[in-house]
Amino acid sequence: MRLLLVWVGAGSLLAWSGHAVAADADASPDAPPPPEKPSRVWLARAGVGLGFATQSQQEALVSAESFGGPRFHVSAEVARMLTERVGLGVLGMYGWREAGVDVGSDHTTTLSQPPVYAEQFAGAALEVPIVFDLGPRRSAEVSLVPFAGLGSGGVGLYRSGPWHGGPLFGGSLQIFAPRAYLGAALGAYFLPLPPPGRTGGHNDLGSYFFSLIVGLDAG
Amino acid sequence: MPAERAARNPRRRALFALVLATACVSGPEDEVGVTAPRYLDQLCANDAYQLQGSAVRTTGITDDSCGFVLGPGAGSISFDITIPAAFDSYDVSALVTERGKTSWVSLASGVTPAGYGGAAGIGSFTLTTDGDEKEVSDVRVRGVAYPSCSVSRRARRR
Repeated sequence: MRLLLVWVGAGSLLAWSGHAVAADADASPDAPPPPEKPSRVWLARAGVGLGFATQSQQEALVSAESFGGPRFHVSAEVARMLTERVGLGVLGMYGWREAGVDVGSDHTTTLSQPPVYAEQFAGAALEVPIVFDLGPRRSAEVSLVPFAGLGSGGVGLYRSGPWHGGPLFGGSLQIFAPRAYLGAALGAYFLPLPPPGRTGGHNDLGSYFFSLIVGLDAG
Repeated sequence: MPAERAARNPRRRALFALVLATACVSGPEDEVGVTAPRYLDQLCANDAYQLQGSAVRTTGITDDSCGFVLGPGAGSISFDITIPAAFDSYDVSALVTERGKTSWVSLASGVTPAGYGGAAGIGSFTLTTDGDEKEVSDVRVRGVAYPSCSVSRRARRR
């Protein structure tokens, strides 16, 4: 207990002395202005989202076959703010879809059990978040987050198909409440890949998505 | 039982028959059956096809599925397909990509041949090319079973 009192007392003394030094610096007219320091240094976000598949020749074939369904993804990102508004970070993503058959019409039945068209991808990218504050006392942030990197993915009907690599790029518009550690995002990503089979078409495992975010501003 | 009550009264009986006849005209709706996606994989697994000319078997829309490429050059592919006995009419189509455009191309359609006689019938359905490359990704059989409806007189109780 005595140790805790000493630790709290020392902390208070340090905080008071810091204020005093800052006040002295402010008082001196000759002193150079302090460098602009970002009020947040680190941004950490994790998200889970779903969306519509981006257009591609392969998606046209898959739709013609009556396979359909949303694409899902999870993401994690960490960025360091370089200035008050602009940061630099890394983003990791994993996405998947298990597209079932949607015959869609009444009085229509399929005569056999179809396979499931399954997709998976993983990717990593560099991102440049551009952050704007909303409301008094920064109650919310709006961020524009473009990103570009590399991804790899595969599709298969009866087993997991071979994975192919390609560029992963896109962007999102995020709204985040730092005090609630919660937010949401709208965006798009693209992962163009070669045809997964001889009669398949140019593929893209991207999505126009909505996601829910949890996160933290630190520093 | 309304039907038995109607049977006792001639006027009610006539009204009951009229309601039944109306029901026959307006429904139930035609039953449509369609083969599930990747029916072509079943045909490939059963070797239910013949290739001629430039036609070759390849992978399909994925690395683990079946597809065919016809051309460049003349060629054809014939599929041996079973038309389910329940169909009164049918349409056999192939999912074909030609010059970057993908569509279902009808190979044959019509009324189920009377010769099938209530049993499933096997037909041969052919896609040809005279030179252009065609990629075949799947085959689909779509059939319609029309509802049967009859009103017959009840046997009299002795």
